[in-house]
Amino acid sequence: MLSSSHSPTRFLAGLIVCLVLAGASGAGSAIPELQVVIARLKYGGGGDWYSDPSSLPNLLRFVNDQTRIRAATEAATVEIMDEELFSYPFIYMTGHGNVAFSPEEIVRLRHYLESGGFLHADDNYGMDESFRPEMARIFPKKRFVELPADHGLFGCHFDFPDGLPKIHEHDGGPPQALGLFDGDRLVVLYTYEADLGDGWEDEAVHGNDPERRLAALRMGTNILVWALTH
Amino acid sequence: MDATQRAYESTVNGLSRLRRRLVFYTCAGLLLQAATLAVALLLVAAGVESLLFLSPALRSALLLVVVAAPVAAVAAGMWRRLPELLSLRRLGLYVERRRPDLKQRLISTLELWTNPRAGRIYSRELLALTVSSAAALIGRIRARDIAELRPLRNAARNLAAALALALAALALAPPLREALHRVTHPMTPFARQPQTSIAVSPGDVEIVKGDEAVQVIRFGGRRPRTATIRSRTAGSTSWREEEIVVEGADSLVHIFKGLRDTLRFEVEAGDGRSATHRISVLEPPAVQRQRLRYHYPAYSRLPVRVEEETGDLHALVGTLGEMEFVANKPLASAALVLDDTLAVACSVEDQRATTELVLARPGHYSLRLTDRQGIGNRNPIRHAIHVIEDNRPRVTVTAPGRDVDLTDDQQIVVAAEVADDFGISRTAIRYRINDGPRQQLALVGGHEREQQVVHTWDLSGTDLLPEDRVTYRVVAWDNDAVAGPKTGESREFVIRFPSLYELYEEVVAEQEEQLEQLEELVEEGRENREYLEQVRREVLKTEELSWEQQKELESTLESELERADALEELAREFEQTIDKLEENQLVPEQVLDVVEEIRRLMAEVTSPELRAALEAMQRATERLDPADLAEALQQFNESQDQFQERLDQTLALLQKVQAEQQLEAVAQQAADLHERQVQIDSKLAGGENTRHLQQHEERLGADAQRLEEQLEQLADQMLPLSPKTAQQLQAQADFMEQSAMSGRMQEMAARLQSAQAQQARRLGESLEGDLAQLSANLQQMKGEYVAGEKAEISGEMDRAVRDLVALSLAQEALQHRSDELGRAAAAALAEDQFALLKGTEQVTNQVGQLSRRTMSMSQALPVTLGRVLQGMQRSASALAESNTAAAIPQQRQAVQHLNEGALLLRESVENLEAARMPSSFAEAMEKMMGLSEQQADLNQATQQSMAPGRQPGQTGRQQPGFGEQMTRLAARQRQIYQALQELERSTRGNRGMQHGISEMQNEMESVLRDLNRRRPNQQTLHSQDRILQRMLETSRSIHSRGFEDKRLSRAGADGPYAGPGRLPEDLGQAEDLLRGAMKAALEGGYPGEYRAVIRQYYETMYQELTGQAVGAGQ
Repeated sequence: MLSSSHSPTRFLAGLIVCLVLAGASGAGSAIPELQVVIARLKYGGGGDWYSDPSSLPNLLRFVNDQTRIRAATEAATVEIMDEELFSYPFIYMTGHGNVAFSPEEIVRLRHYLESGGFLHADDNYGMDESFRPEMARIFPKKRFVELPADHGLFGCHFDFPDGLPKIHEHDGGPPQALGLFDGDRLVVLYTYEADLGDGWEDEAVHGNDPERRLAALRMGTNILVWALTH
Repeated sequence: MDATQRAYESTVNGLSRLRRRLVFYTCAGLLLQAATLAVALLLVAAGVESLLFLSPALRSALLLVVVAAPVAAVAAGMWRRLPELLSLRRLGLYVERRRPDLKQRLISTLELWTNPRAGRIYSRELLALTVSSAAALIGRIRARDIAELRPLRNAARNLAAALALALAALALAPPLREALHRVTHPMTPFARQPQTSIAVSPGDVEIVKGDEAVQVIRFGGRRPRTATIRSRTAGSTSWREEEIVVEGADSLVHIFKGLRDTLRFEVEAGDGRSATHRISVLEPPAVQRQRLRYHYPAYSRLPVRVEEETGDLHALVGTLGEMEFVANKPLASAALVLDDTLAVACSVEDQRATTELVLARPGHYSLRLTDRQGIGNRNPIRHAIHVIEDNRPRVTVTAPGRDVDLTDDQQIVVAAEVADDFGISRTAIRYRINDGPRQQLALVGGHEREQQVVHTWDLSGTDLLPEDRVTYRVVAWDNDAVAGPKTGESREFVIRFPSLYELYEEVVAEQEEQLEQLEELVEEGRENREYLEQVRREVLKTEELSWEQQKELESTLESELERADALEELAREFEQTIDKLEENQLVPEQVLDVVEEIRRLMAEVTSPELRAALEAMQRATERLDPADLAEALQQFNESQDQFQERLDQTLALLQKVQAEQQLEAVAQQAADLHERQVQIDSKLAGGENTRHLQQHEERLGADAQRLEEQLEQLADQMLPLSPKTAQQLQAQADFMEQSAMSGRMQEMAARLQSAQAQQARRLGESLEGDLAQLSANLQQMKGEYVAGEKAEISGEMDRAVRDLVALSLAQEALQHRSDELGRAAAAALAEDQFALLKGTEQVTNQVGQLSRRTMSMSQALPVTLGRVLQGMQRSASALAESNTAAAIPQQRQAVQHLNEGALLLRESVENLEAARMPSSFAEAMEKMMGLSEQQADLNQATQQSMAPGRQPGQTGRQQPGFGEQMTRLAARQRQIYQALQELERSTRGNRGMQHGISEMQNEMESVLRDLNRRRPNQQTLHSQDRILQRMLETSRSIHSRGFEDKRLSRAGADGPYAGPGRLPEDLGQAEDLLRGAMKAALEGGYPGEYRAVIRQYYETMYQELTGQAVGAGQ
């Protein structure tokens, strides 16, 4: 049973960010430090939802270092039908394989996104074929639109004048930041042909150069900041 | 009466006549003087009043003075002048003075005639004479001769002058005039004329609502420093005041801005105040409501839509927008202004204006209205014209949906989901072979908005060669009749016609990687095992651990956990590998079976027990209790032994499989080389284009070179497994080198290039022979290897069976003896039992060794043998304690399990034999191919039974003979179904094939239901297509293994920005009325529970409405 108590997720997220920022500005305050917790989405269909295991901890540490956001450095794992889904303002999904949502999951994920939640899907090469049709099932009336380089996402914390950085080579195509909007709010960000997750991983995993890893982490920070403040 | 008397009377009468005239002259003069005085006084009074603005009382007094003074003057004049005239005597004297010629006769007459005493003094005659003389004289005197007329004339002149002066003053000085008015109306109260006069122009005006009114304020009299403008709108009771600075100016301009209502205003400054003026505000024409009616282009098949909420136009290109506007007042004219330039006149009727517009391009429009007073609308709203472009069709290839290898039959089922916002006109496959020209193949499809197109693409006519690639996309055209059909394309996919060598290299690479990982894990496990055993001993000896040891132990445990995880991941990868292997015949069936066994082993290798033992040890490490730790280490090491044993077994099997499949692969490659050389020779003999053949021969040469290298590598690899096979492989590699096969092939290619067909043909024939020999040698070698392996393993298993049977007989005999001899011989019986135990352990070890070489070993065998060992152990213990009663049940159980073990081992031998039978798999594949052809024919027949353009299952069945046709189709489908059932029985044990057949059966049952009910529909056709697709996939030959390009494992490089310039205005969202309604409902402030119900209600509707469409498209 979906409860309306879930609807203010966005508000809570904003509140948390505000409290965190306020706490950061007032050192020694008695307000306990609140942490933003983000979650990795465990989806069905057989795809490796668990790939790039070191990516999110690295990103969250970077976010803690570079912003006033206080984030838990360990990402939670959540399934769509979990009771806790609505307690996460930001969920992340990646993988190389098939993605499939059940009819119940489609309804619930739609409710989550319309209630203020945010989904970042990062194609780790191979997810595209199944991910797009699944999103079309969630929002049949919406289509992915590519975010231009002057979109706020690319300048809300770090500047990316040329848009999404390319971290890892897939099919040789340009990196694309594709968005699904609910009204004027970006609810799903799909990073395609960029593979930010590989850039967030430990250096030894993919051997990316430091500049590229930094670009990936900065872009990830922008995504998190944008999602938590819009 | 006498004459004298009459003369006297005449004289008196004459005097009286003169007196009347003189009185008249006198009075007239007096009156003129009084009038002059009155005028002068009035003028003075007006001047005084003008200066002093007297009160009514003073004005009354002043007026009284003005009136009284002339009256008094007249009275005084009369008082002074009239007595002289009214007395005859004094009049006589007056006349005597004026007319000396009378010489006192007149006065004498008057004095003497009436005086009695005069008769006594004067003679009567004298008197009479005097009287008559006087009478005569008086009669001749005229009044004007004796009157003083100059004063009268002066008075008249004075009066005239006074009047002229007064009139001039009054004419020139209005205040004097007003003062005169006030003076002449003394009792009337007058407001005092201010010192500052204010005039406003234009004063009363009419303006249009929202416009400004400009008023010029002029000041007269005393110039004020400031002025106050007081204004009040209609209906308001209070005045609004605004102070402005004048600073002595003569005039200023005040602007009333943006007036919305009629206004009254006046200006105050100093003691002056202007008149109250009115600015009347007129309402301009404005649109009160509008209605837009969209008539979409016919091809879109959208209904007419009416919108009243907004004036923005938002519709598809080519839509006719019927627009109706209602103004707030009657209109004279109206026009639609497009992009601020082009005006389109509207039809006007009273307050309504209507027009039509065909939406061709985006822009904006506004409405220009004019009312009957000629007032135009102000600031008309600019409404946007959003033109929705008809989107391109979206095409997604769902089957195969990835890059694939071509099958032997060179057919591939291509399925695509095609969707467009308004409908599809046609679809096609656009493809290119290698770098050749682009070609197009039309597909059969409907015109629905969303449809699935399925086509069995036969590429056999394209003369593909190994390593050729067909690049293709599915293309769809929409039915846009306005801007012309637009196309949408799917992603590009590649169909590869792989060579054996490509397949071989991929498989080898994958397996080598897996082997390496497994070997690393095994090695790591051994090291950890040794270390943990060392720690266990240390703990038992010292009963404590140093800090360093503790940390190292923790690190080792962590490493063990990671190893378990890595192994599970490897098992998952292997799961995928086995699925791929099952799809092809790169390895023989028995090898596939072994691989299946490896998969099972790997899945079980990290058992829950091992994980539990690891966790227990971690807890013990944290507690630092030596006893607990030693016990945990003991338990873990036992689990670890089993774990390691499974790993060793897995590794051994994997190495064996790799070698066997590579052996199979080289044999097939040699056969393939031979076949290709035969084809080239045949075509050369047939006079085919030598250029084409030269390319073939060059590839053949390269492949031969690769085969030679593979033979050498495989020879090294086979050395530990089968030295004989390794030697044979090396011999074949030497044969290839010595006969210079690759070089001769290159030479033949060169000959073909230089058009030396004869020489090329000779070379080809010799190569054909050598390749035939190579292929035969390799086939024979493979057969010998397999047969040898079979004989060896089978022999060892037979021996193990015999051993188990012997042990069973011995154990049974021991049981009898235990029963008969009882406790007395318990010690001797215990020794025998122990001996049997040792023997069983040996057989168990032997079976364990065998299980590393074959998967045919029953999975239940290790458990059964374990129970045997357990029973014998307990029996031995009981007998050692002289407890035969306890030993006998254990012995009986051991016999039972030994027999069971022997049976299982016998079954394993049979499994081995069955597994190594000539391939039944290939036979099943051939049957499947036959069935797929039948299914393809049936699909076509079903499709033809439903005429295009009609609704399947509705109009079609009304055709004559439709029922019979359906019956025949159902019978054919049933035959295929039954054949499939037989095939299913014959392929039991093949996991992949069984699964595929089961799926096909389910689809067929659905198709049969539709055909039996004589209601075939689009879904029936889709089901039939899926059946065919599965059949083709299942029957894929060696060439049919799917592949995906390996991920390019390199960092990305920055390229030029290729993204969009801006976001689309609709942000990718089509109008979603249902969700809009839901959101509006949720914002209604309902309690939480109602909100949940509302959402559930809409979600259900949404699912029903969108789920069908989405589902249909899937």
